[in-house]
Amino acid sequence: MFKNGLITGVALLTLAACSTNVRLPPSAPLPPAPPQSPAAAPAQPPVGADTTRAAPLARDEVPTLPLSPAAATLLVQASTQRDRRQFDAAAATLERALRLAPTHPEPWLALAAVRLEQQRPEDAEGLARRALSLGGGVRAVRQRAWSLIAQARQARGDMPGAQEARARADRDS
Amino acid sequence: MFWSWLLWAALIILSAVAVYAAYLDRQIVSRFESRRWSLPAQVYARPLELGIAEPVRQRRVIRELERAGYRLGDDLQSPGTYRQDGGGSLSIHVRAQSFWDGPQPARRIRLGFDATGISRLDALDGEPAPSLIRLDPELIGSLYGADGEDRVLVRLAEVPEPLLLGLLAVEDRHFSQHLGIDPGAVLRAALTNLRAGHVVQGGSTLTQQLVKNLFLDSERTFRRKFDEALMALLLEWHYDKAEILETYLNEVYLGQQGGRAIHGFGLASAYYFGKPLGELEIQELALLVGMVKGPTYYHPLRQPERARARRDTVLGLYAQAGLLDDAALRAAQAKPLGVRANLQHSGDYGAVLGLVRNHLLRDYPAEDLTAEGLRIYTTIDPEAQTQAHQSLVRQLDRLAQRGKTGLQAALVVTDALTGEVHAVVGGRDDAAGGLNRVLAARRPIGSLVKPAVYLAALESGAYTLVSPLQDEPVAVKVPGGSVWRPGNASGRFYGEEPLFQSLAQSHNAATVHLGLAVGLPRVVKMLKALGVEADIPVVPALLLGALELTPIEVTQMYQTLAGGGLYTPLRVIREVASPSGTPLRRYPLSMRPAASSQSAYLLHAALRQVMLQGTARAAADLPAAWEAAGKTGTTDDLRDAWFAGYAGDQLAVVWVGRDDNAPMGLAGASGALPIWLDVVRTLGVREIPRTLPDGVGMRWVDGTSGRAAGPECPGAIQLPFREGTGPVDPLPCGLSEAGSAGQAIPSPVQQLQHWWRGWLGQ
Repeated sequence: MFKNGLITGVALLTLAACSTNVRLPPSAPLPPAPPQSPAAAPAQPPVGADTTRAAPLARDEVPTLPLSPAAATLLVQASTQRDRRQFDAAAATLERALRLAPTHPEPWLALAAVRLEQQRPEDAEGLARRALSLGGGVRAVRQRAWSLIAQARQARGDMPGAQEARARADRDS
Repeated sequence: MFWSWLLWAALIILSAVAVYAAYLDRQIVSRFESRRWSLPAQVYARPLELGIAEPVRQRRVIRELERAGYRLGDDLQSPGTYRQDGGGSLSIHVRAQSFWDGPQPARRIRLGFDATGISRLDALDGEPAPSLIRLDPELIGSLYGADGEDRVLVRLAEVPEPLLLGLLAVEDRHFSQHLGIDPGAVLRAALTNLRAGHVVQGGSTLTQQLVKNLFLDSERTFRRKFDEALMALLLEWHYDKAEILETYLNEVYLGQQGGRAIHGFGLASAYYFGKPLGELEIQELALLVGMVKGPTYYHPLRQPERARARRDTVLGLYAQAGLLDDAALRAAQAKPLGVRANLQHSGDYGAVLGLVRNHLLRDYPAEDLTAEGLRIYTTIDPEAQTQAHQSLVRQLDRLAQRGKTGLQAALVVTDALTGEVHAVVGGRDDAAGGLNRVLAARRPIGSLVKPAVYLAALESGAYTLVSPLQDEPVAVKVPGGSVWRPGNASGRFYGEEPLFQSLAQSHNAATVHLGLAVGLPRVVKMLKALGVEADIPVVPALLLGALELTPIEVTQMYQTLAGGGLYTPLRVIREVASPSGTPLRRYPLSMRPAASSQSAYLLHAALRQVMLQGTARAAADLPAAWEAAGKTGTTDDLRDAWFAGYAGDQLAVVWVGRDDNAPMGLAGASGALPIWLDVVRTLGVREIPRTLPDGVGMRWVDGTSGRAAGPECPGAIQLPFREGTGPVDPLPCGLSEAGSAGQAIPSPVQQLQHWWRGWLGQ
């Protein structure tokens, strides 16, 4: 029951990447999510003291990330509010989504985009960096996060930084 | 002659009375107007969100329902009731609420649970099932003024009729007719008292009681009685009965909790029963009416028999007035008092309220907080708050058993990603008005400062986690001509060691060498970037923690470390609304980069080593996926013990010490770490993925020397390095190990020993 109710983050990511106006239709058939598997760590030391056994996620090891239906509903609601240019309301909705799904990159990315609209580029860059830390193993997350960072740096007048971020985004597009 | 004297005297007395009455009148009007609206801000916990796949167990939901005053009700007819169904599901009639983003209507829902949390959310009221619903947040306290008066405003129209009828029947039968005083009642009272031989009945009207509460002290003199009567008449002249009654309902004194005075039926209902006045049952209303006569004498927990007899008397009056038939009267009298069992414990939010007040004072004048009835929606998690407080008390008790008595502690728990404050404990006894050590205990932070030194070094680009540092004697000339020679707590020096070991083992001399090489200005700049707003002394001793911070300031600093180098201001308040629920102000989530993701990631790995093999290795057996990281701190002569660290999504900072700042014989690892461990183990954590930042890769190194090693080597660990840095050419196993130097490959027996020791956690 629980597993089937999950929406893959990538479904949202893909939709959001196509156009800012696209919204997730609540009745859309949703692909089943594979269980989130921790990245298999490389060879373990056969013997010895306890070490950093939890290896960090390597690139592209996690194809999709599950998102609870409740958080997904809030993301859809926030996207509507954003389209209506109700940025404060959208930000409040996204913060609520964040509390439900704090480890999912999607609400962080969406909030970063809203912060750009609110002329708060420092926040936008910080939030996009958080998305990278949480979901940098997913190509689409990397592409969107770096593209948001590029816009944030540009808004702050950091042109070389923006260019660097843009190039980083292009590597994953 | 005589008559003219008398006339003069009468005139003088009359004018004196007139002037005095006018004086009282002015006082009454101004004070009545201002007093009526003096409403403390109400502070709420965060609402619990219910939705499919939320990791919330049934027992947790039930505890939350009990906190919000929900009661068992099989038919779920009225809001504020719930029912436990078979098969582990839970049906709730959720009350209507107003939230920042709009109203949430009352709903009847059913929740299903599985091993991970909520598995079903269905509607029982014929409406579409909500995907998400919020329970009413617990009212955790109010920001009352120095007088301690607390109240929750009720409007006359919201007050249940039995309460009004009961109140008038018991306290003032002729309220609707009299002009402020009731001579008949005075006479009857006098006769009764005369017959009894002592005072058993007062003849005061509600108006007189209100005057007494509002304007007069409790002195029993003729002058005071005269003032009271005169003022009661004046009050009735200025205001109508409804206004006087409504003010009385909100003013009447109904109990005391420490320094907090419970005023009015609105707050009394929330305080004694944990639910709104409109939801009280007849016997609960009767208890409150009965308590007007003496809230201490009839205290339902301390004097349950008296309280019950008093309640039943009031219920009898209800029956006489025809409000109850015989069967209903017997049923009501058979019910228990039904008062919340944890009245004493509702003071555990003292430190929270202090922090909330502090934050609000940045944006609101002090008088607005105690008078405007603002609704403050906080980030506090009542579950975390309760458990954090219990952890702190449990571990202080354990230390006391080992002879470490008289200790105090302070504790802050936040969300490592968002900076939302989940729990604040200001000491063993955390009642309001006590010493709030979270805000007030400004103490040297000792080695808690070191991560800033190492992060500044890593950020400079000149160091890796295995750069060799010298833990050798150091002498620094300080202004005034003296020389500062810092050493280690053990009295020894450890020679050359990799950078991460100096931090993990908290070696002082190595840190001072590093900090001086990096430069004090860089360290100060890093501390500021991490969020330290206090004055930072630019002296070499800063490198070892000659910096005084409060626990909440330390939390802000470590919030940035837990957040991967993103500075996020701590938030305890999400939203502020007017008494009617209109949104006034929101405190949004905000963050800015303080250090590069690369350096922050490297530092995180070093702080992991603190827990795995360093000064906090008592935490080494926490689940690896929690990625626990942190730092111990100890000050001169063992006066302060600190631990600041994070695991998964929980960040917690603990201070342990004495209020008189005397040495206590405990270090960070022995005094503060046990509380931290108890907190994270009790609360549990949500694991957070930490992806390697761009340009950082993992390498195997020897866990002691930091030299390159193969993954198959005993004691080899993985550490992150920036691309193009780090050790090269793995050495054969054993070469870098001190104990087996010269032996290329450890014997099978040695390997077995390693395995055995690792297994034992040694």
